[in-house]
Amino acid sequence: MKLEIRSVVPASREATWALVMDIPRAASCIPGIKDVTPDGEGRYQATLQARVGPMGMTLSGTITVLSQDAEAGEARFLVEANDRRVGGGVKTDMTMKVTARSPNETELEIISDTTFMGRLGELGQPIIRRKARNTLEEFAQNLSKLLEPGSG
Amino acid sequence: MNQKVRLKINGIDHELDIPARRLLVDCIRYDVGLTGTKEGCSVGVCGSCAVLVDGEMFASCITLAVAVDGSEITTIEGIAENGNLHPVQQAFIDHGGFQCGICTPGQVIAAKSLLDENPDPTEDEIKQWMMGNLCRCTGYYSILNSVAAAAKDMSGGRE
Amino acid sequence: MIDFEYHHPTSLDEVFGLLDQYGEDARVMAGGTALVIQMKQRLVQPSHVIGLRRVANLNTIESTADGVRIGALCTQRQIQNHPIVVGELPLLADTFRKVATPRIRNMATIGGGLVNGDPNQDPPPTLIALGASAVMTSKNGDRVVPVEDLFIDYYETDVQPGEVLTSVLVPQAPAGSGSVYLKFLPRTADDYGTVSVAAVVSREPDGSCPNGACTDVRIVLGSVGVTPVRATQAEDALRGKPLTDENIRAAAALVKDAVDPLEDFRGSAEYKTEMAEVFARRAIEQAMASIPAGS
Repeated sequence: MKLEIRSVVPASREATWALVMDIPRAASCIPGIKDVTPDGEGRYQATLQARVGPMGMTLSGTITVLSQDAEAGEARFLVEANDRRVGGGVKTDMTMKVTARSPNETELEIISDTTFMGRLGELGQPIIRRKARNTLEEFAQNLSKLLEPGSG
Repeated sequence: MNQKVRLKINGIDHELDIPARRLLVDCIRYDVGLTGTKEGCSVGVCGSCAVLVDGEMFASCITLAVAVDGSEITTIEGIAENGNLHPVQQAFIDHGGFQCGICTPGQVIAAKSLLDENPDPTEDEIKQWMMGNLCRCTGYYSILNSVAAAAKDMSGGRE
Repeated sequence: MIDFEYHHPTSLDEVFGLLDQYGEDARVMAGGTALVIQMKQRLVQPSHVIGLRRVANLNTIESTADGVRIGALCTQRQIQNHPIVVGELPLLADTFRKVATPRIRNMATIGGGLVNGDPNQDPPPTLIALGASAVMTSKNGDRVVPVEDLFIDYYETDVQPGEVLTSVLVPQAPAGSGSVYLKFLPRTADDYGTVSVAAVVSREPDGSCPNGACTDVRIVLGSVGVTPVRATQAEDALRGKPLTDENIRAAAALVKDAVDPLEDFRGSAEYKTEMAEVFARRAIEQAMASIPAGS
């Protein structure tokens, strides 16, 4: 499942890039994320609590930085997580691009390609898609909030 | 874990020691050995698992046996009276209300439960009641005719 | 199904004790029609199931000054046929009659259905259109939640830990109003609606217009999003206006902005949105037509 969103954040390209590459801080913007801990070079362990329909689940897994190009403003991540109890998981290939619009405005583009495995893959496509889109949009909004002037 | 479940099935008391997750349809078919009740869709939609629980038509494939502990269950094996076919059963035979027979126990249970509550249903009332029992063979008219004939028969032939 | 222990409490106190003890590992079961299927599919895997079938005093229906109070464990068939409901809440009786099959209606309960939070269900639009409220009971007492506020997201309802929905209070439709529940069933009669609409229209006579002005209107839709949807903009557009064809069509058109359907085998999101408008318009018209003469 491919999803793409674009949003404009109220910060410079440098500040935006810095946040995107600060994995623990950026990941904290994902709704439901918990316990982001470093696990070697460019790798982090994390837990995500999510709910789709009647199914509540705790996905645990890794965030890996696959590539980063500060000059082009593009980074690629791999997120792999599963919930053994429920028997489902996600695998997301995510690209984040930052483009300067003005000294204080940056366009953030997030392109993700997600595969849902096991139980999650069997759940109806429309509700999964809806949930995934909502999660991504909330992620972008939270990133934006962190970049607002005066929000540390 | 196993739990004690008491069910009175077709007038006979059963004391079962079964897991809580045992569905009523599986309990009836495997623990008690009454295989007349069928499982079709497993989600309560097709009607082939219909049984009466304390006189009300239930979908046994989505009922936990333990949830109806203490109830009186009537299955297709229990509706004949004193060794004679129930008028509904006879009507299905006389009016060709079945072909392969897989939906038939559920259809007969549904028809009986309708006539128990409403002995003189209109054609529309029969359809509204029987709409929850699917049949792939008959095209339904022979089933509706059977139910109507049973109603007439049970009310002594009065119109 | 994963193994679990089934409990048969006979009082609410026992239920609260069990919920306290088992917390997240427990699920409460009423009729079980939704929960058993979810458990069979392993979407939910509680280690403890707390059955409400034997809890006293949860399945009565009584008429009160504020409306009809319906116990949470009342089955849909019980409600559909009850003389108080047929007499005082004919729209509700009609709505319950349209749910699934007689078999499901014998098993499913009003409380279980509300707590389940499936946006395709029939009762919620009608309950919301009538201004119903749910009583959530815990060991700390009662909390009243308008049914309109009960639905948070897809299968997510405002049930706090330790709470059980014990009854629903349904006010009568306003005097001099007409109401209807329309369920668009292009496929089979036992299905969820492709879209569904509950409409309550109140009118007072106004000699200056060909049709009386509408004093109040409620338009609530099912199967058009992740929760039931109240089309407040459409309601606002019609309230206080003459019930002309033009005004009704204009209001129905606003319904399209209120809905956000999920696509499924019943139709695409676009189709359901179109049908939401069509059936909203028909519902308003039919509700209007059913206003008792001389009101």
